[in-house]
Amino acid sequence: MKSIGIDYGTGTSVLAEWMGTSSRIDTSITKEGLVLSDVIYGMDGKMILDIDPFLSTIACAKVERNIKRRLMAESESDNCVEIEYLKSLVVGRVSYIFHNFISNSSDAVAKVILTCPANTGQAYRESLFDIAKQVGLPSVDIVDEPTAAAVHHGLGQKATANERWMVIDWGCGTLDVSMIQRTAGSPDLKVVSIAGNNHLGGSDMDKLLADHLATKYGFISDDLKPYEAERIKKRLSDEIEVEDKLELFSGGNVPIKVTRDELELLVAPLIDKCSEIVEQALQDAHWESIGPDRIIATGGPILMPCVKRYLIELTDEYGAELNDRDPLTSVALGAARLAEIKRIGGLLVTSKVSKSIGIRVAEGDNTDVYHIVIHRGEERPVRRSVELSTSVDLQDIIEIEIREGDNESSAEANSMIARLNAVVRPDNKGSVRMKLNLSLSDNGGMEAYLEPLGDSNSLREVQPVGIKLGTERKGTATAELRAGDPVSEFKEQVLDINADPDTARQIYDRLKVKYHPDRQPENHDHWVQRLEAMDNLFNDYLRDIERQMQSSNVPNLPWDISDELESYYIDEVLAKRMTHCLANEIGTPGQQEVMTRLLKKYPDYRRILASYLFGIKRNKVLQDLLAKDDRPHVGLVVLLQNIPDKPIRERHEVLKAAYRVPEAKVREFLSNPALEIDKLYELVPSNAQAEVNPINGAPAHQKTDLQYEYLNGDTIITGNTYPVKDQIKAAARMRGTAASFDYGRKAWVIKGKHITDKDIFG
Amino acid sequence: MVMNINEAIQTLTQKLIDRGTTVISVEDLSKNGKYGNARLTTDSHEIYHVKYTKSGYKPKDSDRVSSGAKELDAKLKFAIKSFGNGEDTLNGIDEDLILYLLSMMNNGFVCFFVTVLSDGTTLWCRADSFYEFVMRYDTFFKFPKTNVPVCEVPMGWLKPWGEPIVGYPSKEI
Repeated sequence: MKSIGIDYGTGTSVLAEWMGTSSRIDTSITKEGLVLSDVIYGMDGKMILDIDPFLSTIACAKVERNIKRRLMAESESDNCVEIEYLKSLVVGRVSYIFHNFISNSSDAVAKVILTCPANTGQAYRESLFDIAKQVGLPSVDIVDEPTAAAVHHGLGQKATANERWMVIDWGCGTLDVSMIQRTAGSPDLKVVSIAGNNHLGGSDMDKLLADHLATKYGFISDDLKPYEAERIKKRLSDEIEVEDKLELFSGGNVPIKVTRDELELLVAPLIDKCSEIVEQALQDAHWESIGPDRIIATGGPILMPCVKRYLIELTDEYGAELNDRDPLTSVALGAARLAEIKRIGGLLVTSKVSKSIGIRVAEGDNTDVYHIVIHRGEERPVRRSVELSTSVDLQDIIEIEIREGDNESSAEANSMIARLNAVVRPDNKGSVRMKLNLSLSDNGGMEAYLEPLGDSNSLREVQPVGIKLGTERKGTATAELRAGDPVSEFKEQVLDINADPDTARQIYDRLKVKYHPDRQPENHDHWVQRLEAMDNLFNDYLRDIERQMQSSNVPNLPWDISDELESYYIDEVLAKRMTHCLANEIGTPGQQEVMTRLLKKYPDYRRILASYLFGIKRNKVLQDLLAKDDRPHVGLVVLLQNIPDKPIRERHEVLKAAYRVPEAKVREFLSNPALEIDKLYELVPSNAQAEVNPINGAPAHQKTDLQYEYLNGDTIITGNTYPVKDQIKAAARMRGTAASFDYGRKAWVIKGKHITDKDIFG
Repeated sequence: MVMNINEAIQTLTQKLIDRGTTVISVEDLSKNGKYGNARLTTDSHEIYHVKYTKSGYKPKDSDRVSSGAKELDAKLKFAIKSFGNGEDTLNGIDEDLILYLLSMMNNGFVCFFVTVLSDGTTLWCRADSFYEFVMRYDTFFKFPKTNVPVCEVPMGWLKPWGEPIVGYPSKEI
């Protein structure tokens, strides 16, 4: 069984295989193992994959260049047609490389690692998974290119001391810098920070050189045939001055002479940009003062003397060791080694989330709110959850857009990478609740799943678009061999001492590494479950922090602009928020006065006030508002409606009685500083006046002559029962039983209760 | 045009099919004296109480209301004004019917009140929301002859039944 790594690059692609003790480049296509990533179309319009235009002079209709860079850029757009086209080009190229390899190999491939720039978001990684599926690659993981290079260069024995590596991967299309840490005694690699630029590569240098030569020799830059500038750039790595002829599309050659100094002057700004990215990565890792102790450099541009000089200066500055061998193949070689390590388990490689992942949510009328679920810089693998609910009444489908990016001001400004349509039972706004779990796994993939909160029937169906639906793991723990446990450690170190969010996140990250399932493959499922339990604790902790932050501030209203404030639309969400502020005296006295006024613009504000009061049982501000309201009965009824575990019919009678309690009495109940809401349930019927028919004002309960007989504990009622049959039934209900009419006796029978005139007529 | 409860049932059945739900039983309540009312049960444990009515009930002008009924009149008009969204009529069902739906909710069904008007307009809400509104704003009334309380809500408070509603989620705090 073979493990292989494929580095699909902007300029060239490389496949390497693990040979047992080291990796080897597949040279079945070209002698050096480098296969041009570009795709050419022949004059007949067909894709030609087995001809290298670098070496060939065949007539071609079109050359598709920089496919990887274009796909990375388009993956963040909504241009599905272009994305699919570019993916088809990558599929063609990777398929050609892979099938060429397996046709020359006797062993089956068991594990594949595809590489991608570290500074690339989930959208491109998902595209790579799709490409791998179309090619037919088995068991694919996606790994950051700098990490793969680090594995090739630096992974030998366990670290004897704490090690800090800086990996600079400068390719044809992208520049990536990763800071990687190894702890003494451990073979594991931990990515501490990443930084990069996906528009800073060798091809940008080629463009600068082509433009320079076009100006110098008076031709149009676009007239230059592909690879001509690159050819000259490469020669200038070995020669001080180059004299050559450049081929033009329009026919003929242009004789040129160019020096290395000219080229170095052109690329100097790019090296400055590289330096800035390095500084950024050092800062993010908090290594500015100590620097790395090893610098690993890979990629075509590092063959240029000026880039090499920069690397040596950097190495000298920190007294670090420089590893820069195999610059064109180290990523693929490391990927092949990593594929084998991942296949057999044992080594842990964690990386960072390069772009935040969030969802689009609605807040009142604003439907373009971006809520980040997984933050940039979090350690991968990571699993986060967010609780959601329907945002409009009787909503049938909850459209969950999963987006990637760090623009917190607008959801639309971030790239949409997947969508889940949750088909739910229509219900009141906020009644259908569910938890969205999002996870970025260490194989590079993203999973999402929805679980209903409350009534499990409320979630009917989930329709995924562009996303793999996660499945619940059902493994059970067989044994616990480690002394510790991530859940109990997290509780001790975070929850028990109320740690701040930064500390909590650091502890969480550390425990994720300490208890990573790969460290103990024989108990993999057990540790997956324990880490998931810790994830849930951490998610709850984050939600609590957010809740506390929200609940301690007044709503974001134009407090200083009175006109705008008075015309502000008050929806239920804002009404609840203001009720919370009033109850807890949040805000200045002036703001509280305004909130009281604004709150009453919401028609159902009495329900909001009383429901909140029920939750906290007593509150002078809310009680006063309800007691002094022009309709105090509404608040009273809401309180009664909230008392749990009462029979429907009995509660119904109590609620009806509430409106027969005199208004003054209701105000007295509500303003009572020693209010006991549960006791209202008994106080209301005993203080209610007799019922009258609200249409004609006549007493609703007529008094008629009834005869009572008591047999075996039952009450038998005869006489003029018809006009008061509802009162008989209501009296039975109030005593917790039912009345039925016995047609044989022509009497009402109330089972098991002794009912009298007083029960029926009060 | 919808002419009667049978056509209202057909209308609602089709709307439920459009929403991906199948009606498994229909109970016409006319035989129990509840004319124009029916209950539809679906395969996903839901009960839709459908009421056919030509139009809503419009309360009398205040100067034509008897003194005994003035308090109720004020309550009904307050509900219409505050929650009617510009529509000035009421709609509702008998007290025992809504209590039945509540009891079915206790048994695990999700129950809705739906009204179909003669012009085909369909309005709906959850049964418990309906009930809570009625109790909160005391919008009951009894017809003197039958003595049966009727629970009323403003027509404009009910939600129009339209195409399946698609929306973004709210984040729970």
